[in-house]
Amino acid sequence: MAVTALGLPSERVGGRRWSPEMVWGTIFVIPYVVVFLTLVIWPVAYGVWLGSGLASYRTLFSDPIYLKTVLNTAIFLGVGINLKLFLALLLSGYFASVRPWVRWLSVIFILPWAVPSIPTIFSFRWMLNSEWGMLNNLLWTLFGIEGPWWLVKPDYALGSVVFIHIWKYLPFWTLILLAGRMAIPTDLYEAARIDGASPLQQFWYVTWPQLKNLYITSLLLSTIWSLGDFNSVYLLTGGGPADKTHVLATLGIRYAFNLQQLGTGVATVMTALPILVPLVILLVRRLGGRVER
Amino acid sequence: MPRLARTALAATFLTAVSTQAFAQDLVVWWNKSYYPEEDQQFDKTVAAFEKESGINVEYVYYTNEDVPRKVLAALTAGDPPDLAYGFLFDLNHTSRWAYDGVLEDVSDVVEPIKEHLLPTAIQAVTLLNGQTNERSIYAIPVAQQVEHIHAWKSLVEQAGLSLDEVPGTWNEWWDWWCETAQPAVREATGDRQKYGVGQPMSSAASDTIFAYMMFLNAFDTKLVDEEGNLLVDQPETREGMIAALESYTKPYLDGCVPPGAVNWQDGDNNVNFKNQISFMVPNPSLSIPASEYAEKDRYLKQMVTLEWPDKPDGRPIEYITSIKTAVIFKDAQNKEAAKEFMRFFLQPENLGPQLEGALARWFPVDKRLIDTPYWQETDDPHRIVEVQQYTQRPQTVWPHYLNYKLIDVNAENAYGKAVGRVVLEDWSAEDAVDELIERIKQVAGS
Amino acid sequence: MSLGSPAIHDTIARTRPSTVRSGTFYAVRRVLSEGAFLLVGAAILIWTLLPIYHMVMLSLTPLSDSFAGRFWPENPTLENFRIVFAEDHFFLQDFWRQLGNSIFVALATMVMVLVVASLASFAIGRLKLRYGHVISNTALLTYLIPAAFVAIPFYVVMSDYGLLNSLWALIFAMSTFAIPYAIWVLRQYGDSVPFELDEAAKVDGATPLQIFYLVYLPLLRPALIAIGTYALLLAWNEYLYAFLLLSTEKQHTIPVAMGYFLVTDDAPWTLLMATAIIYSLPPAALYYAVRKYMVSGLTAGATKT
Repeated sequence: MAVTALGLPSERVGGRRWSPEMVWGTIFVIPYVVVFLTLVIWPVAYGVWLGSGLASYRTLFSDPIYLKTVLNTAIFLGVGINLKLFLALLLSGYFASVRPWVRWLSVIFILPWAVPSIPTIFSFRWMLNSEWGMLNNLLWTLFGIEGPWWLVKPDYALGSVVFIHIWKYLPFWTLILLAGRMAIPTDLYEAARIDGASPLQQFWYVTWPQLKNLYITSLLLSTIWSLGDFNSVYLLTGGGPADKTHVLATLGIRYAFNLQQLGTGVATVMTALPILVPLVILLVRRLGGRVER
Repeated sequence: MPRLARTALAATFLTAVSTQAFAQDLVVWWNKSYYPEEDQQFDKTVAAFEKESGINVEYVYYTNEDVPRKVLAALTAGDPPDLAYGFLFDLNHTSRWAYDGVLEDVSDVVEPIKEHLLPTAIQAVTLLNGQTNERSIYAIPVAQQVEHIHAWKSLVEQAGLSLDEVPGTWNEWWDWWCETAQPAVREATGDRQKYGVGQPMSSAASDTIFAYMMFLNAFDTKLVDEEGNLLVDQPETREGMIAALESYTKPYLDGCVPPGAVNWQDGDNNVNFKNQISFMVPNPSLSIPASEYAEKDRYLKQMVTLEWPDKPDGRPIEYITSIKTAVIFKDAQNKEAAKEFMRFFLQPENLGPQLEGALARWFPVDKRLIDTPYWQETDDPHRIVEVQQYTQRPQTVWPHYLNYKLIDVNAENAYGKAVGRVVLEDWSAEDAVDELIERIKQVAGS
Repeated sequence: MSLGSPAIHDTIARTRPSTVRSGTFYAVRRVLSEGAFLLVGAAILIWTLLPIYHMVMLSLTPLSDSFAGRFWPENPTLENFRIVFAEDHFFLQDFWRQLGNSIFVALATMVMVLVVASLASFAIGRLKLRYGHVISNTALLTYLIPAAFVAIPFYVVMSDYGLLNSLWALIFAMSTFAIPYAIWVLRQYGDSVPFELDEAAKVDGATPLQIFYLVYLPLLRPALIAIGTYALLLAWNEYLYAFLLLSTEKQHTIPVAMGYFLVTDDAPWTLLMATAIIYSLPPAALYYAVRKYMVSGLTAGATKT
């Protein structure tokens, strides 16, 4: 009788050997396959079909706000992600410290990520209101200066969007990079200290080589997720003023649900594919490789 | 009777009964109102209808934005409700749905009461069907709203001014609020965050479109003719649009409009007015006073409703009216029942209390309802002005009732974008209007 | 350049500061660096808490003062919270029902994700299912598609399935996005659990089902807690899909209800903030309760090089 990896006896069923593991394995994996087919493949295929009409793209490209939206998305990703991860890198070093109060601080620091988006982003939105927001009021009463019109001037509005995005997701990435730091064996640091390395050298020769892969993976992952960040723009500015802070994610929803043009909505997010697909391929190679044994 | 036969008979009977019941169910999607009284009144009307007709009504309330969304999804799925009513239908959907041929011809509901309806209401529901290339009645007018102006009389008087001083003609009127009233109110209250003109400047609010349309009326500018042909290529139209846009954006550029107005959604101009950040505001429908109904002092004494100023040459301005429509879908299961329900609903004894429950936010389109003590013999200061605006002043309808393609221009709020070009990007009104005309031609021209 | 190499030691030796400083210098430097640490800490505290403080502050402000823009309300009050709990406002009429919806969606998502993902990762990782790596790689692919991008087709598909306005549409949506990540994390974590335990159980005559239940699940407990919490928080906080898929008030989850506050005439924003605080407490509390699992569970595998 043939024996499988786990050493269990297998039987012949229908000409092929079906071990108990294979039977059970197949059964166990069926729920996931059903979910995948009905809730992933079908909507994605349908989406591709919806977005395959040329007319939708013509409508999209002739819309005056499309170019600005692409530019906004580029700025949002370029500035937002790099700044966020850079800060996360720095802060992960900060939180790696053993001082007890730093531990407490790290517990508070996670709040922006753990608390739901709607209230926090709304709260921020009202803080920034030009007429009666807390921020401008503080600036006036404390320093006598008229605060800028945060959400009215398009550039400031985009800046505020980037800011709130970083505010919300910085804790998460700091945590990831911190965990990465924790995984670095301390004797490497010992060896460097014995050699008299300064903190900067320790970072460059010990920390960074170990963190580099994680950092790059995080960059890629964060880019993909931020492409889909709907809340930061929608809840803070609604895409305004005058549709000047839209990103591809919010523009797509606007077409589909406000203008009732589903095809154009899907086309909008499809235009992000040239960025999305290479990122996904890169990432699957980096992450998928580890899953193999 | 043998057991099997009995079971079969019971099964057949049950199936017949249940499909009968199912077939009798009228599916109604109704716009949720802003006040509990209005919704409660509708509940009562439905209950009365069910009792009288024996038809079971399955109705659900959706919000402003959701009704059209649900309808779109249902139409895509080929399964629309029987009857739907949305406050935003006429602004963004009705004439297009008529053109697309998805609406049921409801002449048999509207014709019998046609003599009682206002001409603007008839005009609003006589729409072009692209399939037959003929105009017919495809929607049912329920109520209407025009743009009103509200002001805080209390603040004006606190500043030592009187509303009697306000000039009557267009440019002088707007300038008074900005150059005379605003500094005086700011000084009297000591609050630098008081603005004389609460004008919506945002491309995210349909209020902006409503207000801009009034400005076009002030400058005698029409976007389409009576047949729906675009007039934007004509030089007089372009001149009129530029003058209107300049007049519209002047207060903001002069610092008399709250800066955040470029981000306002529908409802934000209400909010800013109620909190006295702005002390004069244009707004469609009487929703602002209605929301203060409980505060008698504020409602009756401090807040007033005003008429719009006259055109620059002194002639009275035409009010543009938005006729709220209910529609029945051609592919629905239960069209006859829907028609019966609407006939019942439109009867003055049902529709009257419905509109009264809305605290005068909506105005009737049926002369029989206008001619009632509620409207004619009231001492409610806001209602008095409202009646005057509707009955004593000329009215026009929205251009997109005549040419459905302009709905897309409304939907993307190209007018609000033009406003944004001027106030956010320092464009001249000419350039902004040229871009607007280009966009109108692109979207609606062919 | 790895740390053991002679080249690195040379570089360090070459570039290390050569001057020798006095004791006071080091003392001063320590004080300065402590001070810098504290300063950075204070900055982080302010940065993190400012919008949240504003939320709390607004929720304690009486309705009439909501536009004052003060730093601390003149007459702080708990009235807003009372109104929320008593459903005493037109827009809060279904608060408890909507809270119930949120709880149901969150718990159901958690259960669904845990069940589907643990079964699948066990099958792929432990039972060595043929083509298992295909499944886990395609799972990864899903994880990488931004949710906002599939919202539109997802909406239409849910309409086709007849699930619009049903809480299950939201549960399925949230599960779809959490399951791939869950499978991946569980597989990563499972890799660190030695295979010998499975074999030992098998020698004792255990069926795969028993191995799953008695060996796999208990050993993966930290990762399961992390994934369960992640799925729960994801569903609890979700706005976009809830907003698109649920329409009648009685079906709303709290985030959708909160969104509707924005589009009203009234703008009772102090009430909105009170609602928001009530809504934020459970996830924050849950997160703090399980935070040590979160770090180790979620980052397992991400940190392996």
